[in-house]
Amino acid sequence: MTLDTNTQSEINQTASNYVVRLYSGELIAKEEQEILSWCDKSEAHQIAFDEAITVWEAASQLPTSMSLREKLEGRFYYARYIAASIVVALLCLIFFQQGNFGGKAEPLSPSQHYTTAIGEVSNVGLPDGSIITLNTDTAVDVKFSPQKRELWLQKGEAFFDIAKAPTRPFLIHTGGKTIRVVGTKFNVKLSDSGFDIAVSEGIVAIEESQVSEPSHFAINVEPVLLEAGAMATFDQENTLIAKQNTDVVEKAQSWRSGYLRFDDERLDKVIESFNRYRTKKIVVDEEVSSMRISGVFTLSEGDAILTALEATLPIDVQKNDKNIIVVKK
Amino acid sequence: MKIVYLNTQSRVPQQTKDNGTLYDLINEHEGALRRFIRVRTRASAQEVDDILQEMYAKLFSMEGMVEKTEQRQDTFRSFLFTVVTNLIIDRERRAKVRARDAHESFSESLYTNFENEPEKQAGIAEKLSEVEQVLDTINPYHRSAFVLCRVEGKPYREISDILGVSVSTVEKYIAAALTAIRNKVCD
Repeated sequence: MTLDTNTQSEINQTASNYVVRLYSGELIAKEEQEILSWCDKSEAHQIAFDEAITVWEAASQLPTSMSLREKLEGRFYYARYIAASIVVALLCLIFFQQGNFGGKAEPLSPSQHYTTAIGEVSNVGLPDGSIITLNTDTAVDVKFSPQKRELWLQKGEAFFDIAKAPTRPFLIHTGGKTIRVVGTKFNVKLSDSGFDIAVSEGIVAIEESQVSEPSHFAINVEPVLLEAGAMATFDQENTLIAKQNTDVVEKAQSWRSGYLRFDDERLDKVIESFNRYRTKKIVVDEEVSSMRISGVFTLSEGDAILTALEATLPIDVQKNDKNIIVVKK
Repeated sequence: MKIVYLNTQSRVPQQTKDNGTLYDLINEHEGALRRFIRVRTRASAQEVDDILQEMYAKLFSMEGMVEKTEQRQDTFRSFLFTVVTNLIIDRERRAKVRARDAHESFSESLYTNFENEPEKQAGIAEKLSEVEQVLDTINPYHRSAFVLCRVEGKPYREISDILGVSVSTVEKYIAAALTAIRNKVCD
């Protein structure tokens, strides 16, 4: 290759080829040498290579509208396209809100569905670089659409490590609320009446995603903003926010590392936590339910927790075919 | 108050054996990852080690990695590259922030982001809309390959199945789209 005869456009094309090869993850040693020496050959080469990388990585922030636009054969002027996408966004909003009245909201177009079985914990890597850790017995739907990334937490609990993309917010719909973030880390646990959220990094905003009566459609409710270290419980009417230290927030997320931590917790609460990971449930007799324990328990130990409890509390563990009962000794 | 401390010698003990398996699985790709980092960042051997170390720390802090790798061997590899790419971008961003102004907070919130850096946000949005315009004008095969790859995150092999062309043709399509975008956006 003679550098002198290379035009800028040839340089750019070569840089693109190299970047595409680089991100295949399958570079061979010979290619590595080729790319590195090409970049070293001239400053223009290195600049072209860096620019191609920048464009490549920034392109993951592109809205998925392109694939949508392919299907729409029509040629829009750009302004008309914006107007149209606003209309679509409004329709989505209306659909979503009405959908909520009739039960769970369904994403409009095909979405990815991820689930975990009881006792299973799983990581999901999303195309934007976000990583979601699903706790036991959890179901989510994910849909990346033109202007936003959306996720429906249908049941269970998940930890979110959201990749930063300021122009494309990440929305999590759950328990009648919408959690809006750009790039942050937090945990959401769905319960019968609402959900609990613990924020370990960044800021999240929680908004109403539905209204109780259609006539209040236009009322704008201020979003609740939560910063790192905040834990909050949302149910239908109420919001409870507690500013905690990072220790407490971390404890709430200890499940991700395969263990549970309790600090002077009631026995029935502790067992309730364990039952989420068990198919054969443990039943706590009322007489012992208010006993308190502290400790660190690993999740994969099976019945080891029972042995430990028996050894330290004045209780007796009775097993039968259906379940395990904890009673007073 | 009763205190029950189990496994006090180790807070995360049950994964020791599995971590070995996971380590082996990642180890299998380490050569490719090192090469990727070297070419992507021009980092020194020490920095490459640091980035890999960070990657291991990140992966081992994730419960269920072993199951994931067993279920989805095909996507595990690209998952590793995504994690590493994000670590690199984060590092570069941190370096940039440090260089710019140690005090100006690089807030992660949408709200503060828009408040503090309106021009930057507008700039990104404008660039992205430029990219969209370029994609509108190029060969539809090139566009599809690029969108499938960068927006939908599909591996080249899968795109080759979708478009019915060879993997090396897919690479040519994507490179052509990348060049077209670069020529428009970076001038």
